[in-house]
Amino acid sequence: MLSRLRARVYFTVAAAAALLVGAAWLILGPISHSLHHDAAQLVSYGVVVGAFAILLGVVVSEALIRSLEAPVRDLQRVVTALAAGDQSARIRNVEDDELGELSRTVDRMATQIGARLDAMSAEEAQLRTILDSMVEAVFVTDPEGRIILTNAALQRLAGARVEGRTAVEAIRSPELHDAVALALRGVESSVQIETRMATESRVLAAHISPLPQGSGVVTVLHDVTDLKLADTVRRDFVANASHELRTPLTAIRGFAETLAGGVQDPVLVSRFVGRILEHSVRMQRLVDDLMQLSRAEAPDETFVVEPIDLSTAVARALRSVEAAAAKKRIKLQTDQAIAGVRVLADERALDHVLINLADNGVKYTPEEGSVTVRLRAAEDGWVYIEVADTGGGIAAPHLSRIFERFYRVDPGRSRDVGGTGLGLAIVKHLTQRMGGEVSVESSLGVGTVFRVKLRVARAES
Amino acid sequence: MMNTHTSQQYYTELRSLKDRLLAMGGRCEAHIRQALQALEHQDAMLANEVTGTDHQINADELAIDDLAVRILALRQPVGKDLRFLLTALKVVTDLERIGDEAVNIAERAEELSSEPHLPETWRALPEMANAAAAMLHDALDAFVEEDAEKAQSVLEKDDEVDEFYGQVMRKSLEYMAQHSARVKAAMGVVSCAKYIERIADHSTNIAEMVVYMVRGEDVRHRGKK
Repeated sequence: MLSRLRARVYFTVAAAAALLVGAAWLILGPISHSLHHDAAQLVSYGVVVGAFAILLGVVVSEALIRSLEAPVRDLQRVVTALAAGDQSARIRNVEDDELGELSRTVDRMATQIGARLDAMSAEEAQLRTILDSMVEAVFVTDPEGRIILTNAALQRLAGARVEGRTAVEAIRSPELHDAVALALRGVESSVQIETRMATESRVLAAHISPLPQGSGVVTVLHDVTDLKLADTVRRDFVANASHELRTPLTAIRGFAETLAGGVQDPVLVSRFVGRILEHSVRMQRLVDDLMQLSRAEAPDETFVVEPIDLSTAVARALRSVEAAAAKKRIKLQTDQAIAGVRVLADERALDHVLINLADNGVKYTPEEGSVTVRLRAAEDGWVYIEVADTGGGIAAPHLSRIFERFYRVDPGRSRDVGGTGLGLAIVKHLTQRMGGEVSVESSLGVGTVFRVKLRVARAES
Repeated sequence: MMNTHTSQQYYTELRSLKDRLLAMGGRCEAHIRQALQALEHQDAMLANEVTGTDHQINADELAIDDLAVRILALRQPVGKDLRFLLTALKVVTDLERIGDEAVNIAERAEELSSEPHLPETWRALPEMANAAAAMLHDALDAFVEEDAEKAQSVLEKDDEVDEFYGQVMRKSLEYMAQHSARVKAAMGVVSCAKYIERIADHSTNIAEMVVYMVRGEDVRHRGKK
């Protein structure tokens, strides 16, 4: 703008000078002969004065232009900075003229834009925080079905950035694909999908809603894998428990019905009553174990963890399996290192753990074998109580599952020896309630070692 | 030269084709998973469900074929788009076969559901099926991302699944020698292993087609035999 102004001023000054010189020439030319050479000198003076006037004009107009140039450049700088996103740019010197008024207006505008942008970015940051703190995975698509917005949970679920992809490219599910297509046509829906995500299969409850004016789709995915697993475990548990109870119950009923039908033979009567007794003992044992397990899992069941003398507890446990061991001529051994050691445990729970493990050892060890309880140091402040048998061992694929409720390595044999399928699950839960943990190691044909890790009671405690 | 509207429509059609293929792939993965669950839990009802829903995969195949042929006929694409359409036509065939293999597994699962318990040899199957399903998933990932290297890595995993098959076969032979009464059940397990191995082969085919689509290079029948 200023360069144009400068050009115009210079052009005006030059034109004025040319007009002046031309006029002087036209007026003075014809009379110069009659005025002799004094007049010619006058013309020269006139030219010099004219030239001086032009020079003065240029200097004055340049100074004027320069005085305009500074505020205009300042204005230009601020507007350029604002356009580039720098909301802090403001005009430095404001005069009290039209340009000054313009500058003040620009400043006001900059302040307003800045405030609105701040509000918008605060709102966006708030939305981002809300989205990212959601447990559910969320994505929003454009009208074409391409993902334009996601949250942290979705990134975690997908294991990769999915912006720019379609829903089915991100989550390979035909049901979700159909539901998103439906929502793009304005229909809201919910589906449960099971699909392989980043590393593993997940079960997701998805809710897909259309955005207003057909501008896309918003999908909320709730990961219900663990819930579904818990539900499966619960259902399996109920099914297993009912099955385990039904078997002896059916037998009892069968024998009772036969007796009710009027069996006279005293030998048969006594045999049937014996069977009924045997099966009711089995049912009793199962119900006891179920209650024991439920107590071990109940959060309001109190466990008093206090220093317990280990050798007394081990002696008690081994005494309870003495008779069964003697029948199979199994040697029960205790490590000398146990003497004098006190562990932090709940006395009843520790008794249950040790009796269960010793009982298992005796059950699955062939005649003439041995069951040994020994102590091994763990990291500082902890010990391992090991119950080792010389049984047939457990094959590797079963090892990770034997602490599950009703899991049996050999279902037939387990029932034969009177197992309920709950013993090890009880051991695991009780140990955990005492702050410890239980593990197992086994080699086929050599034997199995169950290892209960508990905290040692310090001398002063 | 297509005008903007037509070209927009053309890209929408190509994208829709890709999405349908992926959805079909997802369905195949789900069927493999369900068939294996049916086998593991000896759940005849779930097995029936897999068999009964195979028609969806067949319908997917017809719809995708139809769309691909229509795009070919109407748009007459060249270069990369042409390779994409040819790939889609081949991938859809492999996916349909994978669906059939899942049905085969489900049928064996249904037969095995009446057995008192599964022969021990079945224990390798879930891991083997997982490896094969992962190959399918990765091959389709490579297809989405147009990533030839990822597709190449799928080709390498085929040996792993073949190795699994060899193991199941050996163990099953030993098992059958020891348990002559359970030969039929053990054969069911061997068949399932074979179906899974074929799923891995079809996934390999898909990966090879992805390499062709991205690089325009045919890598089929290389390094074999």
